[in-house]
Amino acid sequence: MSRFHLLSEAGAHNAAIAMSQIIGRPLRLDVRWARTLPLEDVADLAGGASRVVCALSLKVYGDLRGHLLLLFSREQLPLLLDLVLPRAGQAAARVNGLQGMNEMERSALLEIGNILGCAYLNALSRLLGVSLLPSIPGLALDMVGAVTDHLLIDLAAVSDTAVVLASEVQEPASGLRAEIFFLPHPDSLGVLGRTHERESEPRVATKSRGR
Amino acid sequence: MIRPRSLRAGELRVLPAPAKLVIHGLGSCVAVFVYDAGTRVGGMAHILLPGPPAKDTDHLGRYATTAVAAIVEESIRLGARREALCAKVTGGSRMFSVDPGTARPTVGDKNIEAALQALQEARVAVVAHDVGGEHGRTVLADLSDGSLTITTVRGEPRVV
Repeated sequence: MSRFHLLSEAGAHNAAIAMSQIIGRPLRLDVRWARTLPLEDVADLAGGASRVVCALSLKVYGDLRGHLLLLFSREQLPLLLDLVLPRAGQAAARVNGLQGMNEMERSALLEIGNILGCAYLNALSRLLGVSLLPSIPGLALDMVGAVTDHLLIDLAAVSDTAVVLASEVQEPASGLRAEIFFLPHPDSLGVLGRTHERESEPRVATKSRGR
Repeated sequence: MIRPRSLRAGELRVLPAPAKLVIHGLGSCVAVFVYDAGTRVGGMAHILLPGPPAKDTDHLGRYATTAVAAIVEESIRLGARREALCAKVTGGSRMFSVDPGTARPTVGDKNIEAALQALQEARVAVVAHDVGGEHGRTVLADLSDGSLTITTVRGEPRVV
């Protein structure tokens, strides 16, 4: 799975740069894991099926198909909105559901999805030499099980397992965390396999170790 | 206090009272709960897709067609009477409205339709349903009274 780690790290590294530029604070990158899971275990990957999260979901098209899921804890949503919309102030503190959010807050979250998603995918695209086209993000404030259902449905038609690339970026001062999950479609794993040869090229390997 | 048995994606289970079955965070997937109030035997499935691609018999709970057939069969095996079985259906949300073709049926819609169709073919009456929408549901089936309690992240739990 080492090539998946490499991809996961590169994607998250790029997303961390983008995120730190949005909120104007340095971020720490914490690569957690890349592994193959039975489908039914996928909902457990982010703190259990009942955990309530703010989820941004992007479908990935192109040479490598898949799903990208960005998660923030519900508890951290006011903090996130405060960082990206400094003037939102107390307004953000009342947010406990999507209905409670105003248009500006919703679109700020969608924009974060766009930027982090594109940053992540750009890194993969560069490493793999393939083109990746993200959809516009979808936004939901709901249980992890509910926001991962569509991933399982997509995968279940062709596979019993899911390859999951997981990483996490954190802003140390506030503790704000973004969890990033990339689930390549099983039909696209051949494309990921191609990195295997690239991995052995010293140029790419050195570059990634430097991160 | 009975500890509910959790059903993950694609799982199904049939039990007698006083067991409880729960699905946490149901989104576009569909839950079908089949129950005989007389013998208090029934089961629930956490369904992902309308039907199996080929002859996939390993994952009965994953598909609406095979899940309904399996619950009915297993319930009867545990003592339920076929003619007394009734069903409650929930789930099938559209969690993210990112697909541009919003008019066409979503996978949630197709799952609901397939589940209802399979129940009709099995001659099991649907006595309650709470389907669609843009929110997740946690679903608790109580075999002691046949109730299905649906909880969302907003609002009060609903018992059907």
